Amino acid sequence: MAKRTFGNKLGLGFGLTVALTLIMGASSVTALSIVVDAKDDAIREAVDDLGSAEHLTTKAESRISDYRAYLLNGNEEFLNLTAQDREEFLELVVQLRGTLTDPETKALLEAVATTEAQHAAVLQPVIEKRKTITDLQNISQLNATEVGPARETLQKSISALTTKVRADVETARRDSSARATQGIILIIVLGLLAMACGGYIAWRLNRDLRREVGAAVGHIQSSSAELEAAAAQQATGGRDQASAMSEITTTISELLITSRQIAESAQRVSKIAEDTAEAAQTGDATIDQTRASISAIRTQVDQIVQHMLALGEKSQQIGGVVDLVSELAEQTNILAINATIEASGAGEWGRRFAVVAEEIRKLADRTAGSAKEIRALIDDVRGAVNTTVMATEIGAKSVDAGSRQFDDATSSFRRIAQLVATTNDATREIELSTKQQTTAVEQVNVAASDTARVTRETEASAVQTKQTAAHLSTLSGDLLDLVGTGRR
Amino acid sequence: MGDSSLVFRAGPLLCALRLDEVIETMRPLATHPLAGTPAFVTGICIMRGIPTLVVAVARLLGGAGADVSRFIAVRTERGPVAFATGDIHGVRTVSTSSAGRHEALLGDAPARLIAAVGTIDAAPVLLLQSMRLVPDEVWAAAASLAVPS
Repeated sequence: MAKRTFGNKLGLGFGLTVALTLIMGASSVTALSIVVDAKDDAIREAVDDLGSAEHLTTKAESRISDYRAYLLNGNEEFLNLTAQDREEFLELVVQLRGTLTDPETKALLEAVATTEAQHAAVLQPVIEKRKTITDLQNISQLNATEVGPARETLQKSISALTTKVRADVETARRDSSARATQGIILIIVLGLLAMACGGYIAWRLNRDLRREVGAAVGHIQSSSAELEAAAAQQATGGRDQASAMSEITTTISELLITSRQIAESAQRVSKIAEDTAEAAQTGDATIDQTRASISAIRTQVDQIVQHMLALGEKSQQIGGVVDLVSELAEQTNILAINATIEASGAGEWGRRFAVVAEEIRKLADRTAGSAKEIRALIDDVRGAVNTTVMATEIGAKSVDAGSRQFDDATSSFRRIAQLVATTNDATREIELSTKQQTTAVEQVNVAASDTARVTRETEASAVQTKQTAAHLSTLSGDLLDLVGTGRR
Repeated sequence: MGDSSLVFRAGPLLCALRLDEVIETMRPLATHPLAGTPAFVTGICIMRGIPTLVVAVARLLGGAGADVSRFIAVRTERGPVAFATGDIHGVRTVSTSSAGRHEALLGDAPARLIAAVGTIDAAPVLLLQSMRLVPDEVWAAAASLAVPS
């Protein structure tokens, strides 16, 4: 019964009690039926058998009276009454044979029948003889000496039968009384058993009620206390939450203002991005013009390089010519000196020739000096040309590098333009998102206000819950008092 | 007064040779080094088909080498010798005097080479004499080299 509910236990207890009551009732009905049957048998025996037996006496006495009356006055009417009495007597005998069950009683009944037949046999000659007697003085002629003993025998047998039947009736009454006593004892025992079971069930129910319901109510009481504490804490938390929600609402309002400012800023940024995109498109055209200019510069630089290289080649050719002139001048110088030497040993003509040769040598020296100067100038020109070519090539390379860098700058600029376009799109998305965010923040603000309201309601509910928990705790104490466990 | 001489440069010095000792001037020829000769003998060259000793005048006079731009073929007692010199300034008249032949200045050995010291435009000019310029052992070395050929 430990795992069953208290309702089940209560139902089971009532069921057991009802079952015992039904058993007791059925047993009582059965016992009463038995007692009634026994009493009925006793009463029937008393009424039927004892009555019939007593009636046998009555009929015997009535017949005796009738045939005595016949014997006294000789009236046929009494003789008929005697015969009628005897028939009724025999009918009673036959009736008693059907109702009697005890063999001894039946034997007594047969003895009554036998004595009655003997009495009738003894009486019949007397009656016949009376029919012949007309004078009552002669009554002594009847000689009815055997009738008296036969009558007494009959009366004794009837009396014995009656006594036996009465004794049987008494026995039946006693039996029925004993059965009734047994039934009473059985009913009392069953009643005591039912009372004991009911008491046990009541004790178990009371114990379980005190134990389980008491424990449950105790738990309810402790839970109520905890609930009260939790409700108090919830109320405190609700107040804190309400104040926090108020701060959140304020913050969200500020956030809403900030979101609107961000939306306006995003809108301005979008406008600036559009202007930047237009400027980038304008710059794109400028870049194309600049690229054409750079290409023209590159072509001019190439032409300069070609011209300078041609100048270098011409200078080299001039140098070759100057070298040839210098060679000729040097050779002339040598020849002039040798001519002077040869002329020195040739007398007066030789001296004149030596003068001419010396002049030739001087011219050759001057020529050589001029050639040397020209050579130096040409070397300077070639150096300048080389320097110019190198500078021009460096410039060309710089133009190439600048062109590449300009290409890079162009690609970067176009990338910037694309990024500006992307930035424009992103800014528009930011603007849209910020507007959506502003709408969302407004919704959040509304939700926060609702939440603050709900929080205040929750706080009120928590206070109500606290009061209810306190009331429930008091009720639990009262219920514990009712159960009998007592307050904890 | 002085004789007409061929003035040329040998390193830092101005030198001169009398024209009667000079055969001709020419550009430097291919020179082959010659073993067993003094340091101033550069080697031997083929001049006009004849093996000719080449003497570096700057090394001979000052001991240090100098740029060579001309060969001067001179007459010696044993045949022509090529002087490797610098630029030739031409035929000039070098003024000499007895005071220019200074014994303490010229000494014994160089005295065989330098006949006198003259001046041109206040610049000193060494007047060389080529006849006894080349030692005998140098000629022997040149002869031994020439024998196999």
